[in-house]
Amino acid sequence: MSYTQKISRRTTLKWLAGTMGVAATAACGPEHTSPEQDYAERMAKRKTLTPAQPVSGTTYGYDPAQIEPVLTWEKTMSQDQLNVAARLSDLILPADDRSPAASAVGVPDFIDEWVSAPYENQQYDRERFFALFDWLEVEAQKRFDTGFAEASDDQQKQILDQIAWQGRVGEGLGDMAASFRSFRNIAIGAFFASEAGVEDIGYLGNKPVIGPYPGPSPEAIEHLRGVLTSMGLEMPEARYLP
Amino acid sequence: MTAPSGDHDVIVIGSGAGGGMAAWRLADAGVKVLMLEAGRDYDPYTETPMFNWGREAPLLGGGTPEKNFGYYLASIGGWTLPGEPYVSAEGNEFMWWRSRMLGGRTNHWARNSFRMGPHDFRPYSRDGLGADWPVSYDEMAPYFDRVEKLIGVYGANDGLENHPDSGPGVLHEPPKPRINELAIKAAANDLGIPCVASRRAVLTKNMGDRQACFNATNCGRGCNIGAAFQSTTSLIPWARATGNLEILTNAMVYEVETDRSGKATGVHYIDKTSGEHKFIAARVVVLAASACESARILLNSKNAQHPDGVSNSSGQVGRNLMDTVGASVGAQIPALENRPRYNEDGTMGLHLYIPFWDYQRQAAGQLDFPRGYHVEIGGTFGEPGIGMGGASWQVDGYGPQVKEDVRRYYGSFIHFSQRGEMIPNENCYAELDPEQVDDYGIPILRFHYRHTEHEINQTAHFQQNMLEIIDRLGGTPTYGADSAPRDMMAKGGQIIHEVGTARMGDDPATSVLNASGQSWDVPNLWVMDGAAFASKAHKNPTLTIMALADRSCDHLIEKMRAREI
Repeated sequence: MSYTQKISRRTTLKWLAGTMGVAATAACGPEHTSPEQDYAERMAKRKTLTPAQPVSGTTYGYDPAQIEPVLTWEKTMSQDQLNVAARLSDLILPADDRSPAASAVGVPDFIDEWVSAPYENQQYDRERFFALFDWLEVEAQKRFDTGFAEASDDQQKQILDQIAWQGRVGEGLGDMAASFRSFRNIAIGAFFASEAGVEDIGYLGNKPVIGPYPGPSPEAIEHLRGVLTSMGLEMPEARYLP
Repeated sequence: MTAPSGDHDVIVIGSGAGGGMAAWRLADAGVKVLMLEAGRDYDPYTETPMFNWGREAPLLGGGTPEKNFGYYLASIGGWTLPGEPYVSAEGNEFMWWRSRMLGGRTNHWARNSFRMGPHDFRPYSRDGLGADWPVSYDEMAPYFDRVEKLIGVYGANDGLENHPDSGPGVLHEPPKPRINELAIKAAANDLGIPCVASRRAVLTKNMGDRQACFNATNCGRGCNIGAAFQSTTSLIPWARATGNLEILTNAMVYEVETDRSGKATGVHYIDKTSGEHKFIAARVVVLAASACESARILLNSKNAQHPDGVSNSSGQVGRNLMDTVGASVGAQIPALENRPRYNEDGTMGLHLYIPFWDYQRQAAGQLDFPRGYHVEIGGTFGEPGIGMGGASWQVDGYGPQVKEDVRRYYGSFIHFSQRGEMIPNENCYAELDPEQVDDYGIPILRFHYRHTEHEINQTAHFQQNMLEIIDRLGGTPTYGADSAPRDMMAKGGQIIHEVGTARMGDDPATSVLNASGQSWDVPNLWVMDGAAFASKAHKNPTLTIMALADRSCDHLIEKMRAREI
């Protein structure tokens, strides 16, 4: 004869909950800590990054305003994600004697603009960058019981060292390393495209030079002369030179 | 858009290089012209984002599917257009660029203006492939001089084989080369490869209302001082000033109407703002809608007398589709790291280039490809942005060294772009798709495109020679070194030089147009765009489109005056 279930599913759940409640209450006693309990407590303290808002807005279309461009989509990253992006950008591009750190020129905002853009390429980066942020966060929690953005410089570097250097990528972290490289590429571009970045790199164009183009500066020509001489090459004829 | 007055003799379809030239030449000769443009009105004087930084645009101004070459490119459209699809036949891929705006692609082209030479007009006679032109270089030379003088082209006369000199006083002074161009020139010359002043339709001295280039802001955005040639700051305003040109924008022509005598009576178009189909009559119809669009209009113009489309008794409309053969090689040059900064914008395009140099060995049968190519070279301290000209991909890790490395590598890259001649072959053509229509109900084009060994071997020659130049400079290739030539070639249409789809010739059985650009079948129908090309020399087609249109207009005006048309 087969056994017929006597307890309804609802009752089972209540009963299980009751049992667990008892167990939990018992475990809360100060005298009775266990490794499981430690773990549970640590887990309870852990947070995950607040996710981004869904992508909204439109692409800018085939005929967007040229003189005064406008962004046709909303930025979507959460404050948590922005915090991680800011730390990551600054680790890649810290302040030095020539220019400020990446976050000081708005690189995280540009990352937000980028991953929020409703284009296929940017949506691809969105998934990868968010996965990278989540991984950094999980690593920080796991190793140091803190969020990535809140971790110390040294802790952040220990985490980053698993994915940031060519030939030294941790096992199974190839995708994270690739995402990091992409993030770094975008961050570098956004940094040097800023006013401070343009000044740092020494881009001297985008200003009118009336009259014939003067060609390279005397210093630049001298430098080239040195380069060509060292290679056994002749300097082009005078009519090509300033 | 106002309704046309009806007071016109000639309808010109399209407003780019060919349409602009036709409109100006005809209007200047007192002919009343109505120009129909499928795109919107466009005014470079008020719409050009001169001096805007990339950072002021979304995504730092980088490319998207809607703006393939970046936010600021003066192109409304690109390889895709909403509502106006096209397809490639299975196993083929062709990319069709369209700019739906007054001035068309002249608003954003690279302005490279290399002159076709004697070999280029007699390719069949030289190697037995493709077709000769029904005009010779000697017949065309005065038109090249005239057009170069009219639009303003900088360059130098170097007396090289098949790279003809211009007439005295025609060319503007070329700009001084930049450092990386000089380095490439030194290495190329050492290997016996020439590297000379480029030719571009950019003024380096003032011409009337158009000012000399002030050495800043990318020509692809358009040019509100008129230095970089585009029809919207020259031909079209000049034609308007005669009082003989009316322009109708958002007017998409889809059919040429003919009568029983075989003459064109006018065109059908869709007013894109209202969606209405309209007919407008004319004494003469000039097609200059771009090579593939002009072919599409002819193929769509089917009637009892012309079951395969108007002007297509030869069956050659849509055939002989060619684009420039393109491939690229890039390198990083350690000796150019940390070089002294200065303003390298210049005219924003090529100051030097490598013209094809191996004609003698080619004629002697010592090369395994029959036609030449030129190389567009570069590598500058450009406006910082994503990629940093290659520097971003050279860095490792994170921390202070990253900034240091980007500074070091910035400006140390060089690049080479092959621009080669393609020979027409039977596998390259555009036809009407038997089923699909666009959002306006017009049958769309289906493309077929295959390269042959001629183009592949040419690319191999390019690759090998550029790698030698890189090696001579102690450089490390960053792309284009390890690819098989076949795999590094641009897709059909990707270089945006498509031509040949209504070619001119001496024989009505094998060509669509006579040597004047006049339809063999329909005497008052003329084609004045890249469709007319009998071959696709490696030289960028715009200058030749204008020279041919200029010449066609001489003949058309003559025939109109003689009342032959």
